[in-house]
Amino acid sequence: MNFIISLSVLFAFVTVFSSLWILDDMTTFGIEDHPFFSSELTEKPLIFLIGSSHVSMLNATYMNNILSQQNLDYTVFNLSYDGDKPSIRIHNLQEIISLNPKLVIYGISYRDFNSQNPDKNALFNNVLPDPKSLINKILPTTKFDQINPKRLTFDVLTSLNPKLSSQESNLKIPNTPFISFGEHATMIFNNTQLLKHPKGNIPIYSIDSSDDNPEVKNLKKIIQELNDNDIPLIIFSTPLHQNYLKTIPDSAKQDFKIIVDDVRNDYSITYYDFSNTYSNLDIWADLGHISLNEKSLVFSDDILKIILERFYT
Amino acid sequence: MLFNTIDFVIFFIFVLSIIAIIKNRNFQHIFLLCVSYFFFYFSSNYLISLLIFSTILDFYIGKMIWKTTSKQKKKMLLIISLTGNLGLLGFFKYADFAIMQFNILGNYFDLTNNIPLLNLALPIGISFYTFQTISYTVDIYREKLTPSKSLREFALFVSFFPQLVAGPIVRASEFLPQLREKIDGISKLKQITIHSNNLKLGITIMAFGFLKKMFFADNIAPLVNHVFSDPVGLDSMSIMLGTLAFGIQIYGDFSGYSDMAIGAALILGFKLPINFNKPYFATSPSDFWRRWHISLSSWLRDYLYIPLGGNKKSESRTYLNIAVVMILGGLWHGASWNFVIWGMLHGAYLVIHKLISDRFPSLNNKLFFKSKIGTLICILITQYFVFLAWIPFRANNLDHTIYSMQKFILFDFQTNGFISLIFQQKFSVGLIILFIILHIVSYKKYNIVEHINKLRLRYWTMILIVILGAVVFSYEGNPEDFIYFRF
Repeated sequence: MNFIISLSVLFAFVTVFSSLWILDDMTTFGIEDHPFFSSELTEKPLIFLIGSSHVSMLNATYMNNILSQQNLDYTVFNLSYDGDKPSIRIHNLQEIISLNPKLVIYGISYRDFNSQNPDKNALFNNVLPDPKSLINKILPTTKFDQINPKRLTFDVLTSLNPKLSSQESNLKIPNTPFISFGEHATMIFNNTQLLKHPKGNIPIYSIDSSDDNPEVKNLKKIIQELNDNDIPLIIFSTPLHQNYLKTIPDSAKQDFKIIVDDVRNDYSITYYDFSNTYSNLDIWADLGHISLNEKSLVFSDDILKIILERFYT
Repeated sequence: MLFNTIDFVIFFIFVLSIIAIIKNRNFQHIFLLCVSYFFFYFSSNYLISLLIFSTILDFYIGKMIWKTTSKQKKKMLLIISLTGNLGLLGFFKYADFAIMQFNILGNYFDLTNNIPLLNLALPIGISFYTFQTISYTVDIYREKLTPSKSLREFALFVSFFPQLVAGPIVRASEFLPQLREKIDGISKLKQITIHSNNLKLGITIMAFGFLKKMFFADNIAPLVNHVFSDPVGLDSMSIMLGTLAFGIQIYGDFSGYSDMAIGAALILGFKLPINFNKPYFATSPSDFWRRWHISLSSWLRDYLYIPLGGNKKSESRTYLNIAVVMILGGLWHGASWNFVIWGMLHGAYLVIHKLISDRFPSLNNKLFFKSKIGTLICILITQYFVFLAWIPFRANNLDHTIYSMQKFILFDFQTNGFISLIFQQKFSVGLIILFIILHIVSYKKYNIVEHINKLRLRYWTMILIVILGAVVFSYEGNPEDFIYFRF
């Protein structure tokens, strides 16, 4: 009888997880499947901005206007999207390469390399060996590690009935195909308001700077792949609010620096550090995102300067 | 190790497989002890030394208390045990809190030098296992319990992995006898066998635990966080909805953990006491505490309230005892004033309820209170106050607590913010409604778990698929901690 009960439980597990797998395959289209990559783009040479939503706050329309005023015949596309990190970006790298951009500017941040399963009692690990890290090394990463079932369920439900969506993300910016913005993203909040509503700060616990961290490994693969295809790459660390920076442990900052120094030395990459540049200015929509507001264009201006410097020199 | 992770699933399947394959009693018990220690070590690393210290201390002190005939020596040994356990608990859980209060007081008297905080990590489960070991030595002292036959059995009682980190708080008198069986009149270590009845019922109970925790509690949490991240400015309806949501979240979280623990233990052939019995249908404050975290409230009754004199002394002393027990019960949850306020409120409810019951004993016999409508009114009034007390438990600071409690009590008849909150948090609101419906169904059908367990295997499997589907398809990809792990 125990065997039959165990079989029933196994059957239940297989049914549910295979449904999840099938549904994910049927409904989830990666960025690589986005019509942008198969559409006819401008004949002008392309500049791509890539990274997470931190990068999304760079206003591609504004940047293109300035470039045309400067008679620079390039078009900027902001190809950032929510939740991007090297292990996700690598899946659409070939599509990016196939469009043959003249420059790729990649915004990275602490969150990209944050430990997957933060150990809230990390203090303990310094004394005796940690079985968790051993198990993580032994167990292979599966497709299920990448799936967010709740988001999948919502995607299916909202595709059946759009009224179920609670998102107010309806603002689209030209040349920014993979992300839409809510009203919140265009507003500026002062320090007091940001303290009261601490949003946009994914907690950073610790960063593994070694190649055991799949994000580090994938970042290096991305750089290598772009190098192999002679596509110039500039990396910058995305700006963060001072209240967010204060919450990041020094050890994590140090490990992030090790990652950056490593890739700079190994691949001769140009790197700009914006993490602290605007940390105390009133230009923030939340603790991790500069506002998409005309008063916050300083970030877009500074990236523009990098582009101009690149092409004028 | 969290129950709601793939690590635990692999761990538990491994444990069950070994137990099922190797039948040697000695091996089974040693194996269960080793995996329990591994379970604890997995999340607590070197702090396992505290568990081992508490185990060794109380095992030998228990033996000595039993052997000695001198009352004074017995008392002395008991004090050593209490000092050891409460010392551990006090140092790791309350030292920084005490230092903070001392510094505040020092600042008040213009003392310039603050004592630096120790910033100690709170060892997981310490509040639970120290209470278990205390009950062991106290019961031996009271001659209600004979000491454990071996250190191995006692260690397994303290560290038994299903209930180790968040209860239920098991008494030695409930657990130790389960480690032995009589064969031909001789007491031997029990053969651990996985019976099909236990397996099926255990899985059903665990499935309901997962449903409560991962489907309800974790998915209602966003609404709670939304309301309590900054409640100032919200209307009464929003505060009430947030409070209702938190009441459901904490119930789902904690009773879900208890269900998983009870189910996992049952599969291994051990019975753990129930910890929750539909607390939101309690008809009075004292009824609530007979239904909520039963293992803690009965522990506080037996090892704190009764030693303080219980209701055997004067009337005023009884009320004082109730208040002291509830405040300490609140403080048990964490070194913070909000838990003290929560305990004080419940103490006040119990005292007022007892006062009314004592002054007007005829009320208890009124037919109205035994009728359906009377019961319903009693439930609603009791739960109004229970949920009011959840506000200090959850709010982030005293300002938020005061504002939220004001809005909860003084209704403002505003609805704008409430309607937009509902639209923003549709999924959480839907789950609250579903939870209430299921809760009412479970109240009417007394034991829904038993009912499902008795279904034919094919229907049982279908229900398992539905529960597992609900859990998996609403899972966000990162396991959420159990709230009671913090205590």
